[in-house]
Amino acid sequence: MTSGLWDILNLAAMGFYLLSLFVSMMAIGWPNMHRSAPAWPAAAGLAVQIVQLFLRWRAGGHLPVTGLFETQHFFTIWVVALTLYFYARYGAARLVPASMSLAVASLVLAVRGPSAVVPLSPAIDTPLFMIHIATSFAAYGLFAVAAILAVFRLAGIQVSAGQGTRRMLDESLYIGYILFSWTMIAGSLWAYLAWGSYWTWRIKGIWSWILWFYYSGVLHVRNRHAWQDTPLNLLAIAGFVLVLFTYLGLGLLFSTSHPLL
Amino acid sequence: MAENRPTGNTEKWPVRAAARVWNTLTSPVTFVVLCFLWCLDLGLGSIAAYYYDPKFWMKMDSYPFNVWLTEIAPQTYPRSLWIYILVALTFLMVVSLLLCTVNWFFRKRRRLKGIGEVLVHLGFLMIFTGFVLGSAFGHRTVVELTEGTSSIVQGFGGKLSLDKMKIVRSPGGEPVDTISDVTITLPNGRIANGRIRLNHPLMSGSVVVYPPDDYGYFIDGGIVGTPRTGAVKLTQGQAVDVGEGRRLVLEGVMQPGQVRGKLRGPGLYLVMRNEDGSTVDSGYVSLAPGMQGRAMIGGLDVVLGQIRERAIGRYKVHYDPGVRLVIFGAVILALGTLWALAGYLGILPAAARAVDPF
Repeated sequence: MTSGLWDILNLAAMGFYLLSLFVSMMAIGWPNMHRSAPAWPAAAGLAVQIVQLFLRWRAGGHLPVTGLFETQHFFTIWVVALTLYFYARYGAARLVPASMSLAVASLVLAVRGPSAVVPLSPAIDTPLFMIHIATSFAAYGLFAVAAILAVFRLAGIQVSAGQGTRRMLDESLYIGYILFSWTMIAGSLWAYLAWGSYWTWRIKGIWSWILWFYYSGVLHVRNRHAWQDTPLNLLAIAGFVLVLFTYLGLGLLFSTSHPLL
Repeated sequence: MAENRPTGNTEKWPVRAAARVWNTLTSPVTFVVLCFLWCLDLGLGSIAAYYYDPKFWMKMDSYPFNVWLTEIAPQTYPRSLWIYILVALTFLMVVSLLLCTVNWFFRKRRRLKGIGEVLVHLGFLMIFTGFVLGSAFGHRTVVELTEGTSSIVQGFGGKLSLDKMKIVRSPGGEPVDTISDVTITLPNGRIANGRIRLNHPLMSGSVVVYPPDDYGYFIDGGIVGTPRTGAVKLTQGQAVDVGEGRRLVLEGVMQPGQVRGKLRGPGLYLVMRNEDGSTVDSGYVSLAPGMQGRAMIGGLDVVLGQIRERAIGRYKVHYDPGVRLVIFGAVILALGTLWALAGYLGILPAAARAVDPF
């Protein structure tokens, strides 16, 4: 399959997310619009991305999550899927435009990386790789959604009725942390089998542990009275900044064991 | 984690003070403060170390941590100060975690729901203990072996043998992996053997043999043919009798890509000698493009049939007495997260479910 197909699918997904963003904006000034209107183009964009994921999986014979193009797509899939889940469960309509903005930004960045399907090197040809990456990006997606929710909370905007916003924030942090724990376990076991050490003093591994410990700290204070509201919101936002640095900053600016370009 | 237990005003001050100290030590806030300091120290230190030397971390990975800490880090002090701070913070964090975990067992209101979190704590403590054990008593050695040879593994006294090795190449011809048949004899006499490649090391207890990072082929001989001897296998230094009291000796070998004057490898440098060792004639036969695969040496037509390649690799052998504890700890931690997740999502029985704080 040619890179033209991937570019078309990338543009299609981006188009649907932009449409969702546009419809969300329209809904602000047009209250009669059906409340689910922004969700449908978002779901269509997600479907396009999932189709692309499976096509690339078939073409390459492995879960397509290496390099900037593929990881940005995978990250976007999780962000959009989680947003739609929260939308369906908590009616978090305001989450949709924010997540769509993040999704579009991710897909714009994705095209900076080569879109060709490349064969998997033997070192990453292991089921542990799949677990490591899938849980890692699911956690990143949850931490991204947590940060978006925290921004809304800081601005005093309720994304959902009642305690819904706080509950979504808690779910994002708690489940994100658990998934990231599995990322660390799978990654460490893989590193032990492949390179002889479950703990490597490499910049990527170190920052992943920083991220894990950071969210360990966040989890310990998230339900304590003194840390509610602003402190927790700031922690969630700072956590996502750490995620971006660990995932993109290190991969693009440093020579790491997890290169993106 | 901790919960403040009222001690009451009727308690004497030493009891109140002790309770306050205990509450502080087991407070999540203590852990969180240590956690954030740990992140800050490691984050800033790691970036600074990278900018000073981008290969800093690779060098650090070559040694067990205690060896690096006691022998290498002092050489770069005070640039390595942050590592010492990190070690101190790590131990403080572990103590905080340990006390929090112990505190849970003394709780009056402990619930089944909390087991998940406690398992996560216990798992982490096991991993940390295993790491300390591995760092204190582990060894990491690199053993260079060619096919059919053995070598003592420095550090713990075992012996590693390489029976066979093959380089796996990508469709484009790039080497991507190796397949090696190795045998390791441990100091207690136990023998383990197997085929190793990337992600599939040979594991025997706490000893693991990894595929080589650095590998290749080298030529140590070949098959040459002459009208008098037929096809003969020769390795470097070996000779074959060619009659009339003369011997054809394989004196030297040139490796693929090697160039010396007009000669290019791969090829064999052959010398014909008399019984007394004096040289009659010499010649070079090669399989390199543009070079001759046959030569007249002392009037004898010598043809190079094929060259003999042998694989060579640098194998990593790790001995880590803490690794089983680490793996067990990781399993406990994973089970803890599963239990916690099930409790969080309300899958567990009512008694074990999370309390909805909202």
